[in-house]
Amino acid sequence: MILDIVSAALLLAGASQCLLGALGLVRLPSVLSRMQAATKPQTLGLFLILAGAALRVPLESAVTLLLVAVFQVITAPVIAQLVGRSAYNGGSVQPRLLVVDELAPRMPSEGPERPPG
Amino acid sequence: MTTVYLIVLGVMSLAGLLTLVRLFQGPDALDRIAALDVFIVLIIGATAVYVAFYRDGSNIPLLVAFALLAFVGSATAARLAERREWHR
Amino acid sequence: MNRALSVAWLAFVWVLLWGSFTLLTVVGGVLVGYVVTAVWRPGEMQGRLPVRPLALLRLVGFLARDIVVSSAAVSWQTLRFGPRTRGAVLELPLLSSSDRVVAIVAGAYSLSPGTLVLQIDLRESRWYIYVVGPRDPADVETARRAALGVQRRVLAAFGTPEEHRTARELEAR
Repeated sequence: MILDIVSAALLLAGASQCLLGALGLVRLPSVLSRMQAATKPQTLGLFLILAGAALRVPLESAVTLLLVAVFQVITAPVIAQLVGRSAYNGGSVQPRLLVVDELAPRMPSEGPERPPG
Repeated sequence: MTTVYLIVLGVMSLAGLLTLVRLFQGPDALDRIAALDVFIVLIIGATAVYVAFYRDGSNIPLLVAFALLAFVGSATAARLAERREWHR
Repeated sequence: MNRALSVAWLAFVWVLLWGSFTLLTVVGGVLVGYVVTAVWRPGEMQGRLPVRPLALLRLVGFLARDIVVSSAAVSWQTLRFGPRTRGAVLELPLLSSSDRVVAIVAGAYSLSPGTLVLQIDLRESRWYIYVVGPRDPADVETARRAALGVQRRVLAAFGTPEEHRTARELEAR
């Protein structure tokens, strides 16, 4: 019974994190900041939901849920970085949204490196 | 207890709707990729809520498959978008 | 040595996939790991990575706390400023020359308070990271210090003693 309540609390917290992340995805002004909203609160939200679900299933199923969480930790930063780099190189970053941009002075001389192949 | 699950699913559906707004609005291909990635995470989360509600672990391998497919899909799409920017 | 680690990791994933810890799944996992590493050779790794278990544990704890803090920070920006949220692109010194350490720091940045790696310049030893949230130069300096702290924590776990010392000095400045 106590486990059920803890599980329900985790699920509720996770769902609200997911909602906050989605809200960020809609409300934030640039690709880079939206990416932040997409990766961080979503990852935390998913962890909370997976933890909530893990409490209500047998141990061997719970262990597989842990695997899903591990995959998320490994893959989320990779996606974030791929999208972030493309966004900066592709010029979809508006300077007026940045307080400082210490990369800009270096970009014209070097230019984006071409992808292999 | 069922009410709690309904609230959880309702909140997640709302999150899904907001994500769809960004998916259709764009304006960038990268925005759509990010939105799609979030959407798949939401699907994984909703399936986990199903697992919790029915105390039924038989859907969990589905979650693993989704998590891996989401990664491969988003990574490929992001690479493709990046390459297209260069050819423009 | 490296191959044994790869096999152990693959076997671990295999056991998790089956969701049961029995002799069959463990032996099967080791076999699968052995075959996979034989077909796809793991990249050649130069040298050994110094690992300090205590610092590694502290790093994991820091990252776990950090993902909660950073989620709250990003959510706060969303609710408070919304479309008027600003950010900054920072240049930071890259203190390690090991590819693996660089990869771990990049992963840590991508998980910590609203930061994202944009470019890594290995020749000039520079990171370029995006931070969401700063609104004035003072915030930028706070963010820079936090980012240097992340790098210091990773170097404490995996870096050479000199790298760790440089990281501490940079952060104290």
